[in-house]
Amino acid sequence: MILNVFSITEIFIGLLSLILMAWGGILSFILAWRWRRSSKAEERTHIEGRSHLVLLVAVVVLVIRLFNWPLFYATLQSFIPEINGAMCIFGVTQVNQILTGISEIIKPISFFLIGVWLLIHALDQSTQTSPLMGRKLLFLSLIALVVIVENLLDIVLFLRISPGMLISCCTTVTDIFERPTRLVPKSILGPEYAFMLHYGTYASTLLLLVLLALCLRGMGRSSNPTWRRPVLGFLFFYAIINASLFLLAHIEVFAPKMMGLPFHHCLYCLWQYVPDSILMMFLYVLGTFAAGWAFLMDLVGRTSETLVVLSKYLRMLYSLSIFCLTSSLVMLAIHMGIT
Amino acid sequence: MFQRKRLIMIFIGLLTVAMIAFIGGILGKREGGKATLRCYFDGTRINPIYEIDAFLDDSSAVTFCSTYCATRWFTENRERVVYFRVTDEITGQKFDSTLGFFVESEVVTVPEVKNRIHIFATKEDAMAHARQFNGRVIKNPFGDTLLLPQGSQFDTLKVGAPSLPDAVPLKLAVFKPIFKENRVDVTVVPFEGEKEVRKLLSEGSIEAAICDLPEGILLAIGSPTAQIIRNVLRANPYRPLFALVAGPKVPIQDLAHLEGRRIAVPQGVSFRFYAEYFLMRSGVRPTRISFTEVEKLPQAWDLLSRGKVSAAVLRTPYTEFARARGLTFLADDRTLPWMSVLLVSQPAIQNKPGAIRKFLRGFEQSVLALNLQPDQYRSILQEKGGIPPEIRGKFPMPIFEGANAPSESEVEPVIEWLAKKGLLRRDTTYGDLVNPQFLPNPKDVGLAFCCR
Repeated sequence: MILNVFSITEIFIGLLSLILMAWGGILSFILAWRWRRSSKAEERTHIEGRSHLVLLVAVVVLVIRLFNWPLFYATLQSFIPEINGAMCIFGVTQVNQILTGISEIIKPISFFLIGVWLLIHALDQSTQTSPLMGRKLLFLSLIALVVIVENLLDIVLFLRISPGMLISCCTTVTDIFERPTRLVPKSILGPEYAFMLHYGTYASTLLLLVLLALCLRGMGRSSNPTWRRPVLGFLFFYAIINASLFLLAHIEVFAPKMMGLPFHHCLYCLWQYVPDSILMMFLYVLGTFAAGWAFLMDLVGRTSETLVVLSKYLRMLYSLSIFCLTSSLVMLAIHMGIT
Repeated sequence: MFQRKRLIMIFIGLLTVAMIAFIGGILGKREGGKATLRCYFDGTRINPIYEIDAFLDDSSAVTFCSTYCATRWFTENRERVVYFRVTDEITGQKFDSTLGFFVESEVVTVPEVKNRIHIFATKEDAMAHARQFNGRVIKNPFGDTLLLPQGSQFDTLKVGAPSLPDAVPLKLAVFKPIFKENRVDVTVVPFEGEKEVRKLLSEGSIEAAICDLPEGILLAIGSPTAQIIRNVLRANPYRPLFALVAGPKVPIQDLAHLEGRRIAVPQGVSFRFYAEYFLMRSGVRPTRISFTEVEKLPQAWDLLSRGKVSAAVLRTPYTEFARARGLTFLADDRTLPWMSVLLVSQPAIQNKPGAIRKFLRGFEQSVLALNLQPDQYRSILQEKGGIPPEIRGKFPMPIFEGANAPSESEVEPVIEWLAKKGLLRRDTTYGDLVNPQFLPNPKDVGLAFCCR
């Protein structure tokens, strides 16, 4: 185990949130089940009263978990000098590939789900009768499961990474000519794939921005058009495709240019050499997730009582998405201009 | 009002991220300026002992942390590379990759890329590493020969070099590779003795050669004709080039006592010239001495050290050997003006003046490097200088001559002697033998560089 400020914080937060989320998850599941079975207003009021502490604890823990994603990478970064052969986070991930791989996949999912839950909770709080309480509690018990798994993985991973291990780093994987991120686009787009990825990403993101803006304009302040849900769903799907394209273009085109290393395709190295790229990527992720959050809020949070507030939330999320994606695109364009 | 406030907030937000990106980009560029410390392929920090440099056709160079990165980059940039310069793991010397020995072993040099390929300048070091670390000698991953990019203009020159310290500047310039830096591909053809060099020149197997002045004059009037264009190594008040040395068990202190005795003289007009010059200068008639002609210099040394002859005419590095053994020097050339020279065939002078100029620039850079930092290149002298193993450790680095050619007064006595021996026509002039066209203009270069 490598002991430093980051790993101790990570393990401490992990243990604390593991215990609290296990308690909160079980309790919220029980409360959700009771809420579903109860039909009287008194019973529901009683359940609401009991759920206050659970929800308060959940909000605190989940907000902390939102910050756990960057903390996870900061901890991995802090391990680099201790691992023989690691020159970036990729090297540290090679110490325990499977555990780190699962952790890296589960973290954005967890971030996304926590974001949805917090938004639904906020939406529910803004109503008089808490019409989303049942769904909210059930959803919380599901999220608790994901967070528990994430916590367990973190704790086991950080306990198992030992100093002095010899590994090889990103060059041996990301820079080989047979890498899938090169072969797949090349086979689809031909030898000029890099050019197409470069400008395709700009075009695709601009198109997404236009669509988001149109949708935002189409959504009235309190209206509930029938086309809204399918459009939100489509835009979320398109945002995911667009984000995948952005990631691929970053690996193949943007990262090598931004680093000034035309043959190196490691995103972890990019974070080291061009630290503001972390903000750029985070903004892109936030922009994409905001589109997803809007769709899921509409899916879960639409009731007669929430209609007006939901519209406000959706507009706010789309505005956030447009702002984040535009900011990220501006940052990318400036970097490309400089390099 | 609210809408306007929101627009201002959005504008400030966008401006902030734009500023962050701008500052990040500028700082990133500055970080890129420190790229000499990082691998061009993946940004790994470079350990100087494993550094590999690729010199490109646009006169730029890029640096790699290991063979792993360099070869991967090379696969996609073959047409851009003029040559690679690699680092010897033992000495830290940088040298031409085509001269390297590559070993793949269990030892990892750069853990970031798990590179297991090691580079050595000598085969002995490579084999020792392979034995010690369960490795095997592998083919040169950069190729054994210079494969030039299509756009690159490289001149070529084949130069004959004797196995003597005189050829060290030439060998250093090939090793470093200084010649390739000057865009000339020089092939060194080793030779032993006058006969072989004459044959190589007449066949056209070499276009230039390093030899002693008397030998050079004879080669200059051969077929094809040639001309001396540079001095290489000259005797100085501390180190003779040629000497007449008495044997260990011979109690002779004076050349006059050599009369009637046997002396060993290696084959070649230069040895004969020096032998007769030393004797005549002391008033001893060569006809009163019994000469034993041997094929090579080591044989003369062998006869002398075994007491089979009373004296022998020796040349550096064997003069240093004799000095180390405490033998008596009956005569030497420390105060004499002659030297070893570089001569170039007439066809090469006519057809390849550009290549000769580039060659000379590289040669002079090599001479400067050797004269300024002799200790740094001692390993090359010891391995490629033709020095007997017994004195390799003690043999001093010679001081090589800068851009200069033999003067008329230096050449005249040799011409006279050769003419007297019937080896040269009496009307042969200095201008036929020495070509000053390749000498730098003294007004253009510093005094330290040029003497004439």
